[in-house]
Amino acid sequence: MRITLKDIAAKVGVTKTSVSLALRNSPAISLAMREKIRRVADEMGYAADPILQSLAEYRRTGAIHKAQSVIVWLNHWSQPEQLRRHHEFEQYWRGAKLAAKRLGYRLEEFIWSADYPAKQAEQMLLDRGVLGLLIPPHKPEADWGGFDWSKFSLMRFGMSVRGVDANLVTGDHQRAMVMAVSKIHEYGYRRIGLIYNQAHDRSMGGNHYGGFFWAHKRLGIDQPIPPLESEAKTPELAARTKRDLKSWLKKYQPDAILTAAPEALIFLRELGYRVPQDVAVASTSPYDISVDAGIDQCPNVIGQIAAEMLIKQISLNERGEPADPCRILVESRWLDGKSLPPRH
Amino acid sequence: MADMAAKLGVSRIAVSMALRDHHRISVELRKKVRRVSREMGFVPDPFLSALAAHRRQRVPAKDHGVVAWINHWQDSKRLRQFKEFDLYWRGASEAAVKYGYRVDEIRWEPDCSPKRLEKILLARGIEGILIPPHRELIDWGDFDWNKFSVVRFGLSVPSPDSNVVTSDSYRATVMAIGKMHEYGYRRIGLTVNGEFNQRVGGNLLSGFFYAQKLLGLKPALPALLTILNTRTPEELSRQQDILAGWLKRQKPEALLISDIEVPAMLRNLGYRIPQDVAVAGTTVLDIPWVDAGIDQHAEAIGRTAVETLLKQMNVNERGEPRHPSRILVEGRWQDGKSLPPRRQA
Repeated sequence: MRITLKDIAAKVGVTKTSVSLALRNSPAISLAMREKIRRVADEMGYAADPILQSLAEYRRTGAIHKAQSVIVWLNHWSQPEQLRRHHEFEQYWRGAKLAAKRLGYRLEEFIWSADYPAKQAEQMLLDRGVLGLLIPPHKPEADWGGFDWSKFSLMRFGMSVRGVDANLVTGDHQRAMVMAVSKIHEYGYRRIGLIYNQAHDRSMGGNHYGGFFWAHKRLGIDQPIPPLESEAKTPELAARTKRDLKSWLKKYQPDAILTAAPEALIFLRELGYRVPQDVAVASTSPYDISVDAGIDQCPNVIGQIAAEMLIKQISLNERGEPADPCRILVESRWLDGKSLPPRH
Repeated sequence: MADMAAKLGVSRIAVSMALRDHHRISVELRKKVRRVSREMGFVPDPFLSALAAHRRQRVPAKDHGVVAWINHWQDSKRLRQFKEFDLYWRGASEAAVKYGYRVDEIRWEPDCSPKRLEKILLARGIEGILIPPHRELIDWGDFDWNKFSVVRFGLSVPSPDSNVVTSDSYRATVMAIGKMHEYGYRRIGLTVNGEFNQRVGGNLLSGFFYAQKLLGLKPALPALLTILNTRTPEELSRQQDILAGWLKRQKPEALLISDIEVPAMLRNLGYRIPQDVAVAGTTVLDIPWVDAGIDQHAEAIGRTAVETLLKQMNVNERGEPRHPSRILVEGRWQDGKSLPPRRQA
């Protein structure tokens, strides 16, 4: 049997209207009572009928309540304008915006400046009737303070968003690696090398490293060229990486390189290697690395799926951090390019 | 909508149904309506759509409807004898009830054509389909997916190309190997079913390779991919011989396994669990004598699948999506007697 507002009202000993107001987070009900009612509702397994809810909303306001059809892209960068300068993140935004529009929602950017208290940001969002938040990547990690996530439907982009255990959407990096190695092999290359950044790969759960080995195993190659770790944070590390690269190239003679590290291209050029004449190169992120062949993670699709999932969560009245957050993986595509032509 | 209807010379109802991707409207007209709606800048109002959806849905008041769990196993009882799959079912059923739905098992008998199955589902007013794991390939023939919202459990059923809910086997493998290492084991081996590994995109092996690197395991034992397809006595005894040779060469202290047949082979070969070799499973539910390993959180997978399906139905997403995605539920480690922590030396 469905749990109704009436059941909750009886249990708490208040009127049905109070329950309704409390669940809508109305300031007409004291905060303590709102929390109590929400807790009891959760315990009883109450799930609002999203459709009745919108109908009720429609009847309540007698008109289309504009603010309620808004979802928000939460920008808590210390320099907010930097976020969408990242090509990939801008594509997330665009994909999300389009998908939201198709479903009758509007996506708005909400800039939560670093000096603004969490409670106030939260209240502003509630006052605007925002039901859902998209949380883009934050570099460096954002400080969310005491922001109460339980009031909103949530969706985050990738593992780099820490401190919010929401469902997340990201590229399927392991599968993309397997696809890329297979493609390069199909194009006639036999000595495929990987250049990667260990810390970055680790933050993605080692998907590139693991995928690289499995892809070779699948092709019947048990001993691929050992992946080269690249690090260029300091001039010293960069110089060491360049030395390592030089001896790695000499020792293993790769005919194709898949790189996740942008600096590799510069070093290759400095070491006198021409792309693709001396070595063909593809990258795991052609938007940030200056070669044109490689893995297209389809960031616009990632954005689209994130917005769709968020809106679906809203439709099922799923708020806050779920008990079992899941990861939604979006498939990547191969991008052909001059930097890695098929061999004849 | 009236504007669009006038422009196209069709009824308003037809426009409405076309926008909802209703199967009674021809695909051509649906495309045409969508094109015109784009040109004319039509944006659905979420509240009016919700209201309309509700009015459409006013079937029996007490429940919204039924979603189907399609069972096309040759021996239909076998499906839920797997504890893992039974928990999918239970997780799905419980979640559905919470939202006013019910999950019905539809046993699709071999003598029933896909088209007929489609008709049966439509006649029962079913618009949502869950496809549990299957061992044999399913031939869907001319079954029209555009009439249904669909979610698959796992990758064992390759088509339709719908969204999939499954366990995060890559991360679970990394986690499990890490746990075995933490418990003091150093020579850690992986013997998993080759076909299973292949089907999940090499997730198990990829995870194993990465875990070896992450933990700096030395020696990094090579994985053994088993070939167990027919499960005939010959195949089993051949596999057992291969396993025997591998164990002798690699001398693993602890194993992560996926095949339900492997513990019996270990016994036959004189290895006691855990005295001679500690064993963890990629599932803790269905492998005999193995109670340590990955709890795939099957109920959460079932629940997530139903929620995903209902969300799709809510926004009227039918057929194969343009960008099918994989929804992964995280597994957890479960302690058990088959892999006890080693005493500190």
